[in-house]
Amino acid sequence: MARMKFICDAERCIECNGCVTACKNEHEVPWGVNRRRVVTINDGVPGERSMSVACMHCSDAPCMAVCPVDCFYRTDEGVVLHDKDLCIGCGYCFYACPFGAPQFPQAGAFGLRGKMDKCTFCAGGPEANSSEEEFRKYGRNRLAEGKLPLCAEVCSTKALLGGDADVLADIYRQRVLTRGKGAEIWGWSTAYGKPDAPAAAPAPSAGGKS
Amino acid sequence: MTDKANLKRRQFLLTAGVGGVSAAAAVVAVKSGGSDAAKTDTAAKADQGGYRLTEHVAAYYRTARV
Repeated sequence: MARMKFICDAERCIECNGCVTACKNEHEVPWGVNRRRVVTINDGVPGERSMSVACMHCSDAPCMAVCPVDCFYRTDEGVVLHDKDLCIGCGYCFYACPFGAPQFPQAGAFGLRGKMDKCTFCAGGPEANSSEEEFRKYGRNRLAEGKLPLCAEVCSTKALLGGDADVLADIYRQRVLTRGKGAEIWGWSTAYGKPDAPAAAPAPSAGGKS
Repeated sequence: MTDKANLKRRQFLLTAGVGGVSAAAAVVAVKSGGSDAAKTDTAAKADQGGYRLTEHVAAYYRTARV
């Protein structure tokens, strides 16, 4: 059985927020809720890194552990989903999650927190696949349509990868082998180039030598 | 003689009865088998709700290897 995972290649992410926009549009996510966001470290400084973050569908999910009404469940593919009919909006999962994935709509009166909303890996919820009710509560069920999460599919640099963990690990391993280095090197040429390519100084003299 | 004839007739009725019961059981078995098959089909359709390696997904993996 395939195990679904996300991985973001920080060498390639250009902070375009295409994944964030695609997610909001695909699932018609309500105002005030972002199921996915791009985090940038050392913004504006050489060596900055950006990374697209959402629910990572943890194998040992802390949100599942702390939920007082046990509304979380895990599918056969390892996708962590929740039942909005059971959720009471207590916010425990928000405090437990190390990625800040659980979101709460705050459009209600008196600061009322509604049902928790989070990334579903485009796998919907407990309702019937691709039903109107499922779409209204959780968004589109792309896995049932034989597709993958839209955020990963639209990523222009293929920084955000989503799908079968075995395949993704193989893809990422191949990238590291191509770069010849680990994740400590930054820049376009290291993200896409060969190990022999002049990463830092693409000088004409260097090209002449080879 | 008459008794023997009566016994034969009873035997015939008994045989026909057993055969009828067997046939009915066979029909029930076929019907239940059919429902099992239908359940299997339903389960297979439900399984299709999850991840599967479609041409669409394979194309995505190919683009990610660039």
